[in-house]
Amino acid sequence: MLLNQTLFYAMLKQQGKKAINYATGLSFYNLLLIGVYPTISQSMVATELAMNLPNSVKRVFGVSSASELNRFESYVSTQCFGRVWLLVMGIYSISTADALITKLVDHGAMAYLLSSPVGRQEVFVTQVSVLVSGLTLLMGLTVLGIWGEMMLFNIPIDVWSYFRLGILGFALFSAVGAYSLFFSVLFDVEEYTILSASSLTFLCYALDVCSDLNDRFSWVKKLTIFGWVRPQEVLDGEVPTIPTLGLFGLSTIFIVLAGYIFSKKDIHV
Amino acid sequence: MIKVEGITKLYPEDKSKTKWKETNKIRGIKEVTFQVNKGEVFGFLGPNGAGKTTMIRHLMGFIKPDAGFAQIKGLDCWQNSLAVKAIVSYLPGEMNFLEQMSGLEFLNLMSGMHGDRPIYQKRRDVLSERLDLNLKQPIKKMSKGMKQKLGIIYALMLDSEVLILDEPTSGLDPLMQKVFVDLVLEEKCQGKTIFISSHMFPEVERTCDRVGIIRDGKLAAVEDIQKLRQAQHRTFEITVEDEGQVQLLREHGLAIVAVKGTGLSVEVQGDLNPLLSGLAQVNVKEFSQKTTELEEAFMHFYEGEGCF
Repeated sequence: MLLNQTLFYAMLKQQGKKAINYATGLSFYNLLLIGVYPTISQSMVATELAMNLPNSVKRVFGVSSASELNRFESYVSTQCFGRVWLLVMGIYSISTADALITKLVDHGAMAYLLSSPVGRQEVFVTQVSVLVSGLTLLMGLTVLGIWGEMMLFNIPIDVWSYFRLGILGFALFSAVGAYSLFFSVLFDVEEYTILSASSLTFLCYALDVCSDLNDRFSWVKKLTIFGWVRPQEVLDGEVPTIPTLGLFGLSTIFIVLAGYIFSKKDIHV
Repeated sequence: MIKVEGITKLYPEDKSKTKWKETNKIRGIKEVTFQVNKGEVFGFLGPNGAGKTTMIRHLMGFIKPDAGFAQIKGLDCWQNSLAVKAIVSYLPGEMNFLEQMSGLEFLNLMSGMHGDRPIYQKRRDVLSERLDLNLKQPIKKMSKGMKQKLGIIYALMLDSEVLILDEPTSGLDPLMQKVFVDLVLEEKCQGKTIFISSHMFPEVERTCDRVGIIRDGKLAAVEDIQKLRQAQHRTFEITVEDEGQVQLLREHGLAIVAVKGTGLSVEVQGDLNPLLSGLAQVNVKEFSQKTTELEEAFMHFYEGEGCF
């Protein structure tokens, strides 16, 4: 049940371009954020604004608090790995999982792949490898971009913390990609796949935001995959072994389930 | 070579109903049985929605039958689908490729997935020349007819023992339809077994040895094409100079089914000579043959036998 090399390279050629485009966009966004950091950290107005907002509002909208503005790791964790990053990575994971299975079934192109003497499981493993490779490329380029930008602006950082955060982020979006892939094999229509995967992602994200609003709801963050990822704590030196393994475990479960369904289901192409 | 025995696949009648329902007008196919011999070209005919594509999905192992089985070369199409696909070429009915690729990239991908034998490239080049298709063009810029040509090149370049072609001439212009018919006949000469699904009688008539007609998911008949052709009713629309000549043709014993002024419709079964000798006595101003619809041909054939 190895991957099919010809299909892998053909699909990677298509999806790799998308990953590079997303990574380029994120890098420019991060370049902008990191570029303005020295100005913002010394700005009295920004500090005052951050101090006057209620904590819950700051958490929901990803506004850095006064103390966060003074420390680069805090600033990066709330800005570079904040809402925009989650949104972009989420869209990439869901749309790629959809493009690799449901879209091909819905549009009929899967008929060609399945008409070859390459087994369904081999096709599925290949598509999973494309998704994982794309995520690796995207995460790698994002972390590399941030590192390069910090070098450019002469900001000293602990490289290994960023590396660990990169792996944790990869694990998080592997999980998003894995359950999106699960929906992708479950449905034959693109709309259903996108709707299900986006709804689940939004629900997980909303639960994470709720858990931040009030200490009484802090237990909720254990129920959502976004609650397992705390960029600032990782950048402050915490080694996120358990969340990383948990997210990889969850990804494996969804991928195995999706692979089983794909190998057994009727495919109307 | 191809054996289908009592294959059944029913779908829910209505999405709003949760129970599987069986009515006279079924969705899917029911108890379909037929065989295609080695080296034979078999036409599988029926109107849109009759169950042709569902049958092909079974042959390709895309769906599992509720009952019955389909075999190719003794291999079960669902249980041994990989072994089946190693000897089968398939042309899907819908021409939806991986749009971002060029035609050449697509064929290279499919060639790689089929084991990349040197003959594929040789046949690909010959076929693209005969079908006059520029393979370097991106697929998303190709017209429907060009995509159909690309699909035909893919199916034929693999040099498989069995060809399964779903609506192969859809979107092709008449010239290319003729090239396609020639290609199928050449494949037939090489001993290939060919299964063509279609709703167009002329392409089937020119290529197939036998035809099966499917209606509402049930196989209504399987017949030899020669037998069908001999029994085929043909209708000719003729305009003569005056009404006296219409009467002359009537007296000649032709089966005139409709008369409108000096225009008339004549139905002929089998031999054309009585019509030609009748027309030799009059001054013909216009003459054309009415296209026989597929179902019409079959209905005439089975008239009185209670099959339809």
